[in-house]
Formats: sequence, structure tokens, C-alpha cells
Amino acid sequence: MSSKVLLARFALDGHDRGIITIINACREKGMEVIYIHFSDPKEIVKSAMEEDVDVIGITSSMGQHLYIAAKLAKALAEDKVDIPVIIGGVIPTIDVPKLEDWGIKKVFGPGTSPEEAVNFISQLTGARID
Amino acid sequence: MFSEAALDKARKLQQEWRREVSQGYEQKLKFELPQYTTESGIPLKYIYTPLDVKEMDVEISGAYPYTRGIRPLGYQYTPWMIQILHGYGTSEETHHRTEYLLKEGMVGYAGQPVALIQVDPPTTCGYDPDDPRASGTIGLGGASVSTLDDLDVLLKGYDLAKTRVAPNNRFTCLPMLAMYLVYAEGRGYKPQELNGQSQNDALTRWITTDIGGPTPATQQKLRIELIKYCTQYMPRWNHTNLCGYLYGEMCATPAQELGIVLSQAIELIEDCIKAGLAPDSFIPRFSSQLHVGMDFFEEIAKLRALRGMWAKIMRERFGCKDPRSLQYRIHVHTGGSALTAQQPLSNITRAALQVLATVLAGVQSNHTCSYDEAIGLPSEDAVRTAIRVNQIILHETGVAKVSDPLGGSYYVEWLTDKVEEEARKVMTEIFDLGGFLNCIENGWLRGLLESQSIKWRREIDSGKRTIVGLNAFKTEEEIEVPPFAFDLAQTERRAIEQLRRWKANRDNAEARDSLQKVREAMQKYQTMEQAGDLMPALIEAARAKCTLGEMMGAIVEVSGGRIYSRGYRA
Repeated sequence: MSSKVLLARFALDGHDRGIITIINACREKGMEVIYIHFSDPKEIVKSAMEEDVDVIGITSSMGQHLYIAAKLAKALAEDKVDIPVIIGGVIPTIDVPKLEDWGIKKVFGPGTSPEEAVNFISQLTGARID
Repeated sequence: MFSEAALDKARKLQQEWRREVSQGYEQKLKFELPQYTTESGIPLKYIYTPLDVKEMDVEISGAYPYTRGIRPLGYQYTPWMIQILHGYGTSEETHHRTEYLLKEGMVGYAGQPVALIQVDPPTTCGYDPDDPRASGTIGLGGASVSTLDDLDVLLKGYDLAKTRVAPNNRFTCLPMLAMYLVYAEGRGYKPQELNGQSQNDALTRWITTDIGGPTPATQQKLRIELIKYCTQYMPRWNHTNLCGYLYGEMCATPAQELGIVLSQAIELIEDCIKAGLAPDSFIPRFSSQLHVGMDFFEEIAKLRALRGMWAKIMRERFGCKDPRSLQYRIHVHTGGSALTAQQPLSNITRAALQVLATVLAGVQSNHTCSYDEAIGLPSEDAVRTAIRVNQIILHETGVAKVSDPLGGSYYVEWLTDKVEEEARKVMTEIFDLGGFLNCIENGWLRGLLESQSIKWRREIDSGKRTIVGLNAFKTEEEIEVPPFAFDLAQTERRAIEQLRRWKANRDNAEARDSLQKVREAMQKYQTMEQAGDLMPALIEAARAKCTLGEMMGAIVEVSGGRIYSRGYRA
């Protein structure tokens, strides 16, 4: 069975070159991708439940990653949703421990190859990829 | 250009050279000759001779078609402007950053101050800090500016007739300009005295970032309104800065960047003519912000080619006679996407080479990216270093002593012509598909840029393209550059509090009435021919202390729009 991935971008962070390559790489590996924009991380949780996804991926390139991750962790806990979350973009390594504390499974900093992210997603979901 | 004897000699030398390469390298050393192309895919030879530039015309700087420079004297008379785009937090933090940069050497012409202000995402989209959609991004990557008070905090103490003020907005340029006019009026300045820049190129962001706004056709109307107002009342104001930068950041090739910029320029100018403007009355106040990436000579050729193409198009297509319409001014923003988070100090080298290319091409102004931009927002140390790159090139290398130092180079002149040729092919393609706006509305441009980005990434992953520190020459131990940070939550609280106080100290009935007039003016503005009534209504609204978000909100209530742009089809 193919994995279903929710990729989400903060509505006012216009940097989408990274997420475009990730969407493309996931689809090339046969994954189903739902791509949404959100203003409030609660919207991510809602979509994730409705679409019944295996993984949530967030992109952040303007320094709002801590803000999003904190709110998302709270929203997931409130709705008792247990879906792994990964995050990628312009994220300083110094913030990684904090993000991991909030339950982010993996942080992909600038320059990460899309393949690395896709491989990690398939590990998380246990799906076989070609 | 060359005598027959010189060309004969070149032919002879070239034949000998070919023989030596073939016998000495290919046959004797079994060397397989590499196949090189530029970023735009132009195949390169290994050496260039007069035979490649037989048709080259004799040109000089300051004369048509201005390939070699738009003025008789270049940096000898005035160095390029070091305009660092900056902004974060509230207008207070940004003001401190402006002061810091000016102290370190950010400077315009004749030593005059410049303030190229990046605004935050809510400001650029016209959401006030108290708008729920703004939460989480207030002060991020730019200043939060929603009231005349904010402008005052940003610009207090600067002589507005001498300071080059350039707020960098998306589709909120028009209400921002209205606010700036009213702010300046309060300080005793007349519109005709003001000297600065509106970017007025929201469409470039519509296709290069995934943020929406009013539909492209509406955005075009807002741009025309701004140009019309400036042409009538603000002769010193640069109404439009056509941005090629973001296409470059989306991996468009240099030729594609020029092709897109020029096809959109032509369409915009045609719309301005529909709005009743004579070409020579507004074309002189166009300029461009271009991307400069790492293909050193092709970037130089691109900048030279743009000047020549602009001059020819304005003269031949629009019949311009005023030399200022033909002299195209260029600001370069060094390519942020060329920077790596890995081994970040290498980025200083990248920026230095990009600025050197810029200077060798003789442009008017430069923004240099900071070495820490792949890690986060730039720190003070990093922006100071970016300024130093410019100062070292200007004061230590001597490259600014001679105008167009590469003019006459067989290679650079040949490449300048080739880039023009390739750019014209892109323009033809866009016009064949119905023009720039149509190529936004049918998704073609967005598709092109997305596929360029994906291709770029594939080339890195396959090793076809080398990025030092990223996919080659990696280090085990990463050098850590401390990321620049500020208190986001506190910024948000302060911005909302200031806005609350601003609204408490105004006549709300008057504000409401003036917004109604903005709606009415927008409603009446159906075709380009009807341009001219919206800006006066916005100025009245700014006088009634309406906020940027309220003014933009009134426009969008009438026009409608989208939150994001990807996937849009008209």
C-alpha cells in the first residue's frame, strides 16, 4: 500500500521551491501527496484526520518553525492524534533539540536531498519504495 | 570592425590552433574535449577570436544602445549604490538596523541615505497585526508597517527629499505609497520632492512564491494606477522596479529571466498607454532588480544585454525619444539561493564574485546577500560583511576605475549577443502563448519555473552540478554560525498594542467613510482607461488614519482574490 503524506506550508511564508521538489519526489516514489496551506496549525490536524495520512511534513523558511511546531504539538495532543511529523526548510541546527522535544520526528535543514526526506518518510510508514 | 587582413590572420591562427588541439591533445594525449554550455544552455567554444564578433558595432558608454553603460562616466563619477534590503520586527527594530547599516556604509548616490525596507508577510499582503491571518509572521523577515506612526518610527530624522525610501511590498504598493505621501505631507514635503521607489511588481511574486492576493488582472490595474499617479504628481519617484530576481531564485536561466522581465515590461507599458500616458512621460522611471547567480560571464553578458535590449525596444516599439526612456537602470540582488547552510563562510566568496560580476557589468545599485542567509535572517555581523564586500571591490581592487572593462572582449561581446538572442526566443514564446499576463493565467510561467527548480535539484543530486560544501568537498564538522533571532511573540504583542492605540486616537466615522470611497473608486475602475481615481481615494483614507490593512481590505472586498497563487487558472 502506498503512503499518504500531508505536506503543509504556512500561508504567509511564500518560499515554496523546497516543498515543490519534495512534492515531486514523493509522487515519483508513488506516494499520495496532499498539499495544503494553513494559517493556524489546527488546520493541519483537521486535514490530517480527514485525509487519514501516514505522515505530516511541514515546510518553514522564514524562522517561524518554533512557533508552528509548538502550536502543532498542542493541537495534536488535544485531538489525541498520533501521526509522525517531520519539518524541513531554513532551520538552524541550534533549534533541532527543541523541535525534537516537541515530538518532531526529524528536521531536514537547507540543502537536504529530496531523496533523503522521501526515504525517511517510507521508513516511518514502513512502506516499500521502488 | 576588423580589417580583412586582421580577419585573415585570425582565420589562419584559428586553423593552427585547431590543428594543435586535435593533434596535441585529442590524438597524442587521448584527451576527450569537454562540452561546456552556459546556464542558459548556450554552447561554448574554448576560445574566441575576432571571427566571432565580425559584426560587432563600435559602441561607447553613455550612447545608444547603452550596452556599455547608460552614462558617459560610470563609477568614476558616482559608485554604485550599496542598498541593503533589510527589516525585521516592528518599525523600531528596523529603524535600528537602518541606522546600523548606514553607519557601516550602506549608501546611495552622492553619499545620500537609502532605506530599502523589506516589510513583513502580513504587511506585504495587507493584513494588519490584529488580523488572525497575520499571527505568527509579524515582524518575520521584514518590518511590520500598518500606520503612519510606523512610518514615522522608520523614517524620523531623515530628509525625505534626499533619502531614497523604497519599501518592498507585494500588491500593497499603492496603499503604502498613499500612506507615505500623507506621512511626508505631515512633515512638510510635497509629492514632487519625494525621491524613492515603489516596487510595483506584485505579479513576479504571484508566480514565484505561493502567496495570492487580488487576481493578476486586478494587480495589473493597481500597478497602472500607481504609475499614472506618479507620472502626474511625483516626477522623482521611481514607480516600478521590474523584478527578475525571483525568477532567478526559481532557477530560471539568465536568458529566461530577461525574456520574462521584458515581455512583462512590454505588456505593462501597453496598458499604461491605454490609461492615457505618453511613453516618454513614464518610461524613464522604470528600472529593474535582477538576479546575479554564479555563472560569472553569462551574468555580466545578461546585464549588458538587458541595457541594449531595453533601449532598442523602447525606441523601436514605443517610439521613445527622451534618452532617459532608453537608459535602463539596474539594481542587482545577489542570488540568495546560491548560498549554502554548509560551510557558511564560503558564502562570502560567492557574494564577492557575484558583486564583482555586477560591477564589471556597470549597474547602478547592488544588494549583497549575507553569509548566514541559508541559516536564518541575517545578523549584524553578516550584513556588515556584505557591505564590506562592496567596499573592498570599490576601494581595493581598482575595477571601478574604467567603465565597461570587458567591452570589446571577443567572448563577452559574443556572449552578450547570444544571451539577447536566447532572451528574444523566450519573449517570442511568451507572446505566442498570449503574453505575460496570459502566461500567468494559464499556468505556463509557473510551470516553467517549477520544472526549472526540480531540474536544478536533480542536477545536484546526480552530481551533474557541483555546489562546494553541499554535494562536494563536504566537511565532517560543520562550522556553526549562530542564527539571528528576536522575540516573535513580543513583537506580535507590541505591534497589536500600537495598532490598538492608533485606532483609539482617530475619528472612526471619518475612517469608515473614507474606506467606503475607496470601495466606490475600486468599483468604478473597470478598464485601464478608467485609471486615476483610486489613488486620490486612498490618499484621503490615509489622511483619515486608515491602516494599510483597512485600505487593502477595501480594495480586496471589491476585487476578490485568493490566499495562495499556486494552481490558479483564470
